[in-house]
Amino acid sequence: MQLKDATVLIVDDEPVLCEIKSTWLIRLVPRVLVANNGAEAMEVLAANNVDLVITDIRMPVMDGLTLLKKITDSSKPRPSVIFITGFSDFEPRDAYDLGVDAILEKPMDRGDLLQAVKRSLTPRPELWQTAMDVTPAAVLHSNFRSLATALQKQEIAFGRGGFCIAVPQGLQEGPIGILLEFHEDRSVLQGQGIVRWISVAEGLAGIELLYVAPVSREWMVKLAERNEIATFIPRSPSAVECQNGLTL
Amino acid sequence: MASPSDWPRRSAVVTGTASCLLGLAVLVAWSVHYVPLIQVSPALAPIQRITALGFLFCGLALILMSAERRRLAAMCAAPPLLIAALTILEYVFNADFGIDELLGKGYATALSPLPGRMSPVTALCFLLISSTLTTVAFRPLARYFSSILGLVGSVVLTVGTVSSVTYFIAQKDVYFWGHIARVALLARAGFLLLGAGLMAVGWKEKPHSSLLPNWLSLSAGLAVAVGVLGLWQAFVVHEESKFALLSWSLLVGGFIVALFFGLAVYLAQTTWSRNRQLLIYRMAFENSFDGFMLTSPDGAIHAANPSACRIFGRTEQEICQAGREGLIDTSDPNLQILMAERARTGKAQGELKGKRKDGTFFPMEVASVAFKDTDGEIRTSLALRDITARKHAEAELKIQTERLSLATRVASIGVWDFDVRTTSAIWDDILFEIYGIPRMVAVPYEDWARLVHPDDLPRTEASLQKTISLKSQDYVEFRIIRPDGVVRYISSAQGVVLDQQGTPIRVVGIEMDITERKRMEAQLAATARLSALGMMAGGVAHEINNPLAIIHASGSDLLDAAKEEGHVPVEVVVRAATRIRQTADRIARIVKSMRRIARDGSQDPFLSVHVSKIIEQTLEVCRAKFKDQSVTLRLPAIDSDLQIPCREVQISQVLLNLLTNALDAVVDQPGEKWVRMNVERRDESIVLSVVDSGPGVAPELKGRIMEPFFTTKEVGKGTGLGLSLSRTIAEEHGGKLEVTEDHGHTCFCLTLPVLERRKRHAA
Repeated sequence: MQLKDATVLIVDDEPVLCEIKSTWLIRLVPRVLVANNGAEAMEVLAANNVDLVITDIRMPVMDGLTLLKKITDSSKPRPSVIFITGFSDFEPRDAYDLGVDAILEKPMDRGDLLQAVKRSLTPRPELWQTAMDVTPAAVLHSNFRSLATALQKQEIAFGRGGFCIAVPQGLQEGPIGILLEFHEDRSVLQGQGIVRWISVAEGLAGIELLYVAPVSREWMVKLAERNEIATFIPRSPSAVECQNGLTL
Repeated sequence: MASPSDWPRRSAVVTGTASCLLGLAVLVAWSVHYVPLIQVSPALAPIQRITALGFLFCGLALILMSAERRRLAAMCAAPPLLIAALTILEYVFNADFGIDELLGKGYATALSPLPGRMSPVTALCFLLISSTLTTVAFRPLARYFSSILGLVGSVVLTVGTVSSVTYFIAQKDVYFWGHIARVALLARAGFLLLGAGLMAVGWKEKPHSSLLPNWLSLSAGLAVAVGVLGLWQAFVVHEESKFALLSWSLLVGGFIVALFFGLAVYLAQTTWSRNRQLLIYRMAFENSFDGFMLTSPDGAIHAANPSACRIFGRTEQEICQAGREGLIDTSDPNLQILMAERARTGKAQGELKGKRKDGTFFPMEVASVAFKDTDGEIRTSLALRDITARKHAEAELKIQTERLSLATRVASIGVWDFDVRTTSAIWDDILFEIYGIPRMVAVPYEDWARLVHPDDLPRTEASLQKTISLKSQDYVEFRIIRPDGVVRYISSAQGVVLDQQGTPIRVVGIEMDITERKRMEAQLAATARLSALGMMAGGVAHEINNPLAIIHASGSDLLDAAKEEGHVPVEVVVRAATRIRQTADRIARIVKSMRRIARDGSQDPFLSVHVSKIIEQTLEVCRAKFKDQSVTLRLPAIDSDLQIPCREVQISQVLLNLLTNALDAVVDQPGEKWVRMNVERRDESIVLSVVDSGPGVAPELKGRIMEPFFTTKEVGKGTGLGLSLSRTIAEEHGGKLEVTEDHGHTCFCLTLPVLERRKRHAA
């Protein structure tokens, strides 16, 4: 699926904002649909093949979170979802776990929105080919016996867009370099990403992958293309099952 | 009344009654001419009517005396006294005053030569009896009553007895000289009765302290003398001419015997009385509840009563053997002090430790006196009482008092005790500290009233009056102005103390300085308002975020267009700018509403405001929240003319509070969620109600939800002051806030009067 033939649905209870977002997106994608709340959005989704839903959270009749759950539950091929929020009424960690690709804060910047849309509609192998403009100063360097044991010991878990990992204290949200070594497998996961959330209490962090070095790209892509994984970044290693079959 | 010591009174009644009956019988006999009663035998003198009258009156007087009616008794005794006195005068002057046959024709015989006149001895006896009975009416002579009655009684009794007995033994008359009239037989019996009666009254009148009347010996002697005289006359005088000397010697001898008899009686009486007295003292000693011991100053013990034995747990013998050293804890310094005091002043009392037979000690209260006995030897006595129980009670009381006083001190509770009669109160130290005035013995009511804030004084005084008049208790809060000008808030709880008749005599109360609490309450109220605002802010933030996003986006569009294309078409600028201005206005409106509702507003003037306006402005700040939570807000069509006098901001705050609560109640509810507002005009009121689709208020919570600090929300979500403050606001508006039910849904009704009848806000 490419940007040039994608369909995007904008859900917002503020008509003026729908209009503005439409004008922005119409330059990027050929088809932009609009709905004023979650219920309307479900109707639109039923009638159209939609690739991406950009939704507000707080809306009358049906809010964004309910919409997301309904989308996940529906039998149709799952569109990507981007949240736009003006109020912290959910944990980003939960939203990524539920399968949201990106969370944008109001008032959102046009550039940010367009970049999130682009990223969401770009296939992973292509997306992960490009390194970040600025090399992150911090690097997350972890050593594991093997991927299998790490998964079994619940030290790491993967989602569509990133992974959740036990991290040392002092890690901060933002761009980060990644180097995960799996000694018995004689393999590494090397790349760049953004720390999306940190739980100091649990010693966990959720990291979205933006770039994967060629050496590890193949299996990351394989992982991402497994459709059954709706989760973008798991909320914790224990929350994810059936990853034990993953190999390097 | 019928106690053993009551016999003198009853005897007097019996003899008095008998005397009356005798007099009456004779009078009746005279009127029906029943001679056998008037003149028992032809050899005897007849009893005269006037004599019978004397017995009747004197008998009455005796009865009255025994009933303590002295004045009446004296009045009854007066006629016989007059008759007797006149009769004697008649004899002396050989005259006739016309009193003899006052009651009718008399009856003359050889032994009674003057018809109707009583014999001189009879007259003499009546004179004695009636004058005695008259005397008792004179209070100043009260201390002699007993003696006079006793002596006269004994003389009359002897005359009656001797003359009666002599007649029955020897058929002889006594007490007559020459040809003067003899005493009639019935009169002799009558004097026997009256004499006995007089003595009985005399006995009754004796001082309570003496066991026997002190006149007993004298009356005994007198009686013997009178008796001797009668007997001498009856049996000896006839031989007078032959042995004149012998006859006189017999009389004198008889008198001497009388003298000795009197003396003997005196001695016997004295001895008996003393023995009797000793016996009684002994019994008192034996039966005294307190322990009592006879001791010597050297510590020897001579006697101990059974109570002392019981207290020490020893026999009297053991006590006497043990002596002072064995009975009293000699290491107690009090012992030396008490002994020194007894040696100096002759008496001492205090507390010592007693020693029981088993060696245990017990506290006892002792009183000891030193005195000289009849031999001039110094003796001592010791009265003692086991005070273990009292000591326990005292210790318990002391602990309680300490506990109470510590509690009040620690809690800074001042205590006062107001005397209803003197209208002054006794304060404790803490109360003086609270009021900031120097200590004084009693605080007059006026002094206290001067310290109370003038605005609060009527309320506070009413509370005190209520406590007294209802004989109950009351609670009041008021302000005081200390002498240094500082205003403090006081809470007072008081209760009345009644005397045995149930009349309020005291009011006891406690007071606490609650200034700090009041300040914190005010702060909490402010906190509650801020907390409500915080909740509201959540909704408003979102409401403002959307317009901000629009403005931001419109601005960005213009900027990007300008940057990328070098110029921006006019229509694009106009559209974006219009959008920006409209959206900014929208934000301004929300901010204005929020600022308005966030004000305190409690000091605002009451103004007439349209109900529709209040509701509209309230919804401005919470509509967004309802929308966000997908809760439908149902609004009524409001009569645009409807107005109420109110503090607009406060009513908005109440409505906001009710709407927020309703929203919170339904937000987690499955299915359709709604909140409905109703506006209804009822008589002189307007009812604004908020109904929600939530699960309703549990019945057991309904009574409590308006209480301050009561909340069902989780910690951090509510202070619990919302409804309580809302109710206060409603009441300040002269209205009310109630929770009811509407088709099973919770309904909060705010009722406000259409006409202004708000309460004066008490500070």
